[in-house]
Amino acid sequence: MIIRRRLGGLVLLGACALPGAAIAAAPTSPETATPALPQEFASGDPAFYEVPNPIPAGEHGDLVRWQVVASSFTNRYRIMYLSETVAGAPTVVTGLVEAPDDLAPFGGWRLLLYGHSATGFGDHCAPSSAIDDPSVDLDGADEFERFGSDSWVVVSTDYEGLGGPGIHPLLVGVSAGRSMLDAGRAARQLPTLYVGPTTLVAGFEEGGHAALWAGELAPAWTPEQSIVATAVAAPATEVAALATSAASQPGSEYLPLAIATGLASTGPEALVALGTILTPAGSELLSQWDGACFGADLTVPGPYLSADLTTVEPFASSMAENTAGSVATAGPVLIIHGDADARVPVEHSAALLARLCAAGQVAERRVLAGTTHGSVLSDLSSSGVDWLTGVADGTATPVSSCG
Amino acid sequence: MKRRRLMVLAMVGAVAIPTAARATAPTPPEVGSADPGPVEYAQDDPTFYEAPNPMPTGEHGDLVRWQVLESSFDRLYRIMYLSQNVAGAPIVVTGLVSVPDDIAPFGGFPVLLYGHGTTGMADACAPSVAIDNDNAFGDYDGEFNGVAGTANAWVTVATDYEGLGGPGPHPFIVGVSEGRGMLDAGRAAGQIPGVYLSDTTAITGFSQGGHAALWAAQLAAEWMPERTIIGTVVGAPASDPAALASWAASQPELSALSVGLVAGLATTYPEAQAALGQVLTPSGIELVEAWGTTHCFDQQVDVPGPFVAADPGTVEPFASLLTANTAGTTATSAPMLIFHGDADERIPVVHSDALLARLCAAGQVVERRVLPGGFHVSSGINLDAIAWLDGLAAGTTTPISSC
Repeated sequence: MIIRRRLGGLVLLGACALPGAAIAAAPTSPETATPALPQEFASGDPAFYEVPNPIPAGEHGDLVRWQVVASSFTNRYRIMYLSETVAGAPTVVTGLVEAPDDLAPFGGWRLLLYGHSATGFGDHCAPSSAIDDPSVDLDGADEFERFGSDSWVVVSTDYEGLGGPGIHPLLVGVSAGRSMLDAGRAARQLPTLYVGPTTLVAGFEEGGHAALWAGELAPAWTPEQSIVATAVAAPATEVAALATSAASQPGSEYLPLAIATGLASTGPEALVALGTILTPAGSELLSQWDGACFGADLTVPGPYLSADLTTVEPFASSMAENTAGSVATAGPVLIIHGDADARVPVEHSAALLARLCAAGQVAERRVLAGTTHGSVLSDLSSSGVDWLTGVADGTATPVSSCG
Repeated sequence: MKRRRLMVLAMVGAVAIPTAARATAPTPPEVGSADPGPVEYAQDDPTFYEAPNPMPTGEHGDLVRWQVLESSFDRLYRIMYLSQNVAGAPIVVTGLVSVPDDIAPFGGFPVLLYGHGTTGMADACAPSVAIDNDNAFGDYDGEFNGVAGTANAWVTVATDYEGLGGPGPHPFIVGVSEGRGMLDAGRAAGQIPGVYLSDTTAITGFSQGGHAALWAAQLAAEWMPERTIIGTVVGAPASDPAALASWAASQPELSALSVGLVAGLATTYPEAQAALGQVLTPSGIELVEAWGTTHCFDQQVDVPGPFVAADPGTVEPFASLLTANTAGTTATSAPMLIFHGDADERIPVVHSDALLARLCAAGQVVERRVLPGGFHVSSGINLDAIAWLDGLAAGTTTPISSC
């Protein structure tokens, strides 16, 4: 199946230093009448994830498909929507939407765009797929469930290439930001929901990176979506520093390869470069990622790359370009980070705060003593959610941690 | 969405006007003429019924306003939507929509269009006005509540009819006005954000609403071709206005009904307005005035009879106009069911003998169920009617012909 061959194909391409033509080649489009969008799929219909061929015409953010996901308490939907790759090609992205089981308030529901943490590269690692797949236990799906609320509609993109076509551009800011924003547009097109313009953003780890990129892109990409506030936990904003720190961090050694793979998904140059530094172990790990998500125990010892990514072009430049949080946005930003984080070092968010402050952003950083990478999520879903709600209600005055 | 884009286009167009052109044309852009799409009104905002000025542009059936109503069971909305009067001028009409408090089934909720029985001609007699008005004299919303409660798998859409609640006089018993009012309400209901409707549509009505339903069924193929009408159910339909006017004129206790019929024609046909004095006494004219402004049909107007000077069924232009508004003169592709009590004290059961004969001659598949001993109110849209429609929707009902 396509899913299982994707990363294998990537390895092959990289190793043989082939140009990226094969990636760009779109399947030939059959001459069929395009169905009216959006299209509802029956609950449980697995054809939901079949990539539409051709990609339907429309604007990025247009809802292409939706499907009810069985849930006892809330109204939960799987969505597929139009977005655009970094190269500007139309693509479809999948995600999850959860709405309170209640009549929308005057003006419609608020919307929370949620960016989940890194789950992997396989389509089965997409939270929207894992959420009702008993064979996959995925943090990303659990995260989504934490952010359901009786006061907003939560929309969690799977990100480009997770669930949808192509390889997931992990930590590629433009891709992540577009996926988040377009998911918000798409959710507003669900015939069953009434969603107003108020938009909040939250994200954890990879999703923190995505959330900040969404805020940066929003004014130009989805100007109708006014982002009121953004809360991130342990955000993976310092991509280059993360590649360096993770290489020597037990349990995170795979991250540089994951970052390189994400960057390689966007263009032939990085793909060729990946082929030159990929070790046999790295190649084996890529093959395993076709079937296993990041949380699984992998038994391939490193090193996976033969060089430090920060010393290899185009990765060095590309990682710098994908740093998140470089411009000020209208809404305030809250950063929550545990000082016992063994995945994303706490000093990364110190660098983020300094950068945001220099850009003129109203940003508050809360460093939580003794809090680990995994446990900071519950702070985001409690105090972070309270802060978002307070800002949206106008009852909380955003604080600045800038010196 | 289409409308939003058009609005954006219009705005871009406005901005793109060259400075020179602006200088010579200092008048501001006509903000009011741009179609803003449906506008939500806060619950209990009494300005809901104020006539929009200018009349919004758009197609008949476009939702203009909606407002949530307090309801313990279903999701209840008041709507105002675009329609067209008999002369072809754009008008707004109000109505009620009840949505089951459930997640919509695959494909959306089926739609039950309901035409209510006669309440009067003044705005206070509109079901959508009476529903949250504790001071309302009569139970003008009771029928709607009963039908919505019985048709619990359907979205019940009940127009108030032209001029009842909304601006202008109410063309009581004018078939084209009633039919358009019913059909356009169905279109508008599907535009309430978060209300997800399928194309499956049933047309139902009681008494005056039976007349309206038959006209709606007759007009549907042209006026609302995008919806699939699966069946029409009418109870004690006022299908033969000419016969009804003559009969009522001959009954002292029902002569007011005759007055209502000619008053309805007078709202739409200037020749009828000019000839009112030929069929009504001065008391009858006073009655018409009271009905147009303050009194519902069940409210005592302190005017002595007699009201009727001559049988409108024998005086032109009333005779021809009444006959022109006869319902059920052509066959429709969907089956019909007629309920009528053989002891109906308002609309004699022989009227539906004639209706059945007319429909059969036209080739309509129609079943009539005569209710032994049934009075007028016995023919309301009840469980039997909904069961028949549920069966049609599910494909389990085989329509029967009484021809």
